[in-house]
Amino acid sequence: MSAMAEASPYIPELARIVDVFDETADISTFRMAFEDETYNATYTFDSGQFCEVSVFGHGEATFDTASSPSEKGFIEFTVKRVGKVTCALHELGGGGQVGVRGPYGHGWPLHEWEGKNLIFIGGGVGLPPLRTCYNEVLHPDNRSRFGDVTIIYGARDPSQLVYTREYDSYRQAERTQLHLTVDAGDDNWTGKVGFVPQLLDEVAPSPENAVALTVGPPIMIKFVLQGLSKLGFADEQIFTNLENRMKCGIGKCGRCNVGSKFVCTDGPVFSYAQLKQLPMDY
Amino acid sequence: MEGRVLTLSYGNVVPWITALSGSHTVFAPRRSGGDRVEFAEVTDPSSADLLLDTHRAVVRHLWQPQTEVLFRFRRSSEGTTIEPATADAKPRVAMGLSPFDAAAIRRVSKVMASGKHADPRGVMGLEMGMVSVFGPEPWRTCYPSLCGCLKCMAEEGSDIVLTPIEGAFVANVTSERGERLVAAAPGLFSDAAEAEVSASEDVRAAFRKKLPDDPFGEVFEQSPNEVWDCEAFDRVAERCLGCGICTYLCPACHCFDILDESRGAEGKRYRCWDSCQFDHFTLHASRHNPRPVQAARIRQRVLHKFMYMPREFGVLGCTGCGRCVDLCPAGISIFEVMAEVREELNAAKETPA
Amino acid sequence: MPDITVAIRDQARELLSSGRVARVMGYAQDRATGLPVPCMVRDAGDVDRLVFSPLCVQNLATYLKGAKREPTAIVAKACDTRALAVKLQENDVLREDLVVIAVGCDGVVDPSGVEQQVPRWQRIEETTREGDVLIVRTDAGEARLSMKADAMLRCATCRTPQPVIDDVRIGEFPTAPPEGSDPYRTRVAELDAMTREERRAFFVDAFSRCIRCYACRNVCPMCSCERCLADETRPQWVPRSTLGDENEMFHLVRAMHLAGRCVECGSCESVCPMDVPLMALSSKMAEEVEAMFGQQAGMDMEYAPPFSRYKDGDPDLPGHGGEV
Repeated sequence: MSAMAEASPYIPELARIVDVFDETADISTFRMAFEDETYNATYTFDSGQFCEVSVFGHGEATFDTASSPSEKGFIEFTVKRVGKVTCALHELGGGGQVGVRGPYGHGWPLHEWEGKNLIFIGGGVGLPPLRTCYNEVLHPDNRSRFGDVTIIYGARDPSQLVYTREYDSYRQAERTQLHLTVDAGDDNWTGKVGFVPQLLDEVAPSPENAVALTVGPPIMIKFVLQGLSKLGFADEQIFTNLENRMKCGIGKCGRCNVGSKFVCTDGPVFSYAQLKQLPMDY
Repeated sequence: MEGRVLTLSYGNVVPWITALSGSHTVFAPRRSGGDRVEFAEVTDPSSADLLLDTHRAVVRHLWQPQTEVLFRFRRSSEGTTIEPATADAKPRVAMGLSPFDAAAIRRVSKVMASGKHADPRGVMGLEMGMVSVFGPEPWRTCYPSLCGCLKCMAEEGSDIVLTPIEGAFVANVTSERGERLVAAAPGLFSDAAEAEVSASEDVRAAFRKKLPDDPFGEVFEQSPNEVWDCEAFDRVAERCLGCGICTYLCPACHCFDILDESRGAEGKRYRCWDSCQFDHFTLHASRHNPRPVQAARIRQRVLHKFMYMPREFGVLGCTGCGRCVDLCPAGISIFEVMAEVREELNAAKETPA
Repeated sequence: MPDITVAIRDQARELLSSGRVARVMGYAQDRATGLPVPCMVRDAGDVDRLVFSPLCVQNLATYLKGAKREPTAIVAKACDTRALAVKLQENDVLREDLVVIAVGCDGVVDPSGVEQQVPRWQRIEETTREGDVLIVRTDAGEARLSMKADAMLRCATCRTPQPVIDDVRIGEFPTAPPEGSDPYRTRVAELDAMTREERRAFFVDAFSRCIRCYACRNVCPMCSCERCLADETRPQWVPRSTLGDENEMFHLVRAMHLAGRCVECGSCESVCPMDVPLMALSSKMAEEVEAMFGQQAGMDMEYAPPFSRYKDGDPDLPGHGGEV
């Protein structure tokens, strides 16, 4: 870390966008590497943590890590164009220089899930914080330590699906199943049509020795939680990644305060049991 | 109070401030036109007056400036260069605060300096010298149970507590840092005589006696969900304007925004005060707002100060100065809201389900 | 019980129980301090909360913001009706959704005067009039405030002894405005008499105090944009920083947006915690618009704010004689 960044937690490290993958018309995955080679080589993070990414002059925004920590030499963020910084990042494109602070927060507690079956339930642009976890699990260095992997994913329509370029690799991976759905199909779509909670009901994963991770729009989460409960998942077996408005990322600016917790320092990963303790302030 | 007890004649205050200014950045109250009193960096020691009534003066900037440049940047074909802002060259001392303002600043600084990543301004707030002035009158809108045990509070933030008596301040030097402040001009101080010590105790006792009866109580014992739907928040939200007066005048508030500004290849990133009372404070880019109505935002302020902070950091986020009550354009009192919430909860308990 | 308070309560009861309005916006005695504060009454059984006294300084028109339509009765002093007039003219509120309960007023008194005479007051028990003296009885003693000397600044030359618009009239309405000079316009004249450098120094000093709490904007009845330009980030029209001239930028932009619309109620300056002389800008703008268009905002239901409509012959158009 640069001496400057050591002195103040608000100074970012310089990084460069080394590659851009267009997932949809307004969602792209940005692969970044730190300019400082030593820092880049030794940089680690936990899947589920987030970073504060700067586009200098436009501002800083919170992005969940989207790549597996076992893939060394870079970090990926999957970003949708919605506001000032995200649009500026898209405009900047490959080769552009950015700033990165982090990683911050507590990631998915993978070390507690060894030997377990993992069920990932994602909606829309909620898949990236799940991908950082399942790609980590599916990584050859780690695969043997975990049980079966089930990915249940849906988007509004086929053009909104992210990571389509990776679906074959998920299907071919060891003890891994991919289930897809869209709210509405198009002329070329031959897959399932329906909402993610419906697909969850159909797949009906067993809660036996299992953990479910879910990230997506609030309405989807609501029905997914109900569905998982019906399937027999206990609150302690269900995890999510809260995406409150965050700024400083380190529990100082007050923005992501939920009850007596800060999403940025106590989360962003919470079990459903922990969520139930918090007021509905997210 | 622990520590040495000295006297500082009123005539020696300006010489002391002058001496301190050599080695410190000194903030003290001064008149700034009309009835206004402000805490400002001392450039002319003779304009500093520690006996000014500061009950309407902003104090948050003593540890956290309204706007602070975090770093400047310049983009070129070779890349971006970052230039962090430089810290204060000299250690800071704030003088003329009320003891409960000093306590509030120390508390919020501790919260900001704690955890995995310390905020540099929080660290500064922990390290800065604070010379508070006790009374002689408590402010009309300050609340005793939150001013707490005044003895404790006086020592909580202050390095020196000055109590005004006839002709001089009696100075209780309550910390080593306080001793270092005295050491800037030791000749100006003398050991307090017994009569002087006794007079200062009388002033503080009279101060306590003047504090109004406090019907409001302190920490909320309940969980957030138990108070979440209280109508007290809706009632007061009807007249709340959603401005930032309460939070910006509060010595214990700390929320801020971080923004960039640039022109061409050069720019800066700064942070500035922000308020949980503003309607867009928690607004997501997706347009979802967890606190979409003012009642939810008022609830956040009340619970953050009297439930979340005690739970997470073991301290109240309020020292009862009453500035928010005094200056609210809509006449809202955070203490009154708490009283109404308690009444509502008690009434609900008595009503059979 | 003063007649005005009784009459207001009667009106409110009638309007709520008949279903004519969903809420009555008025003043109530704060539970703790006894000061009048704005209140919303929605239940006919609740109208006894409503009060009126010369301490009712707030302009309640500011609470008529937001997209939700709700038939509302509003207790309005005659000066408050100016703000209501502009809001009606700008379609912020629809005529059929508003019942104006105009209350006769010969001035309101700055409540901070109570503290000056009774420094430790905690609760106001009763206010009574004795001629031109307002006697405020508190738990810690009595304050005697002058309806002239201790009045809010705008009352010195009240331009609206009669309401601009009303549905119900309660109390006595003065027939003629009081004599005297308008303190806000007097200050504008003093500023105009300064050199440019002196005036600049005055404003630089004033804006340096601003902490961007936005109380001035939020209390202003005329500032009702759903998304204020100052809160916009794409682009950041007015930076949130206070280090340079950003404060000046915010206040000048706001003054421009209020040109021809500000009713000079003075709420902005009276709520500012930092004593920024905000009315200096708004009054100046009002004066300029008055000179150019011959009208003051909200004084005549027929005359909408000049910049909210276009009329042939508008004096600021080229060829019509008005030099901008």
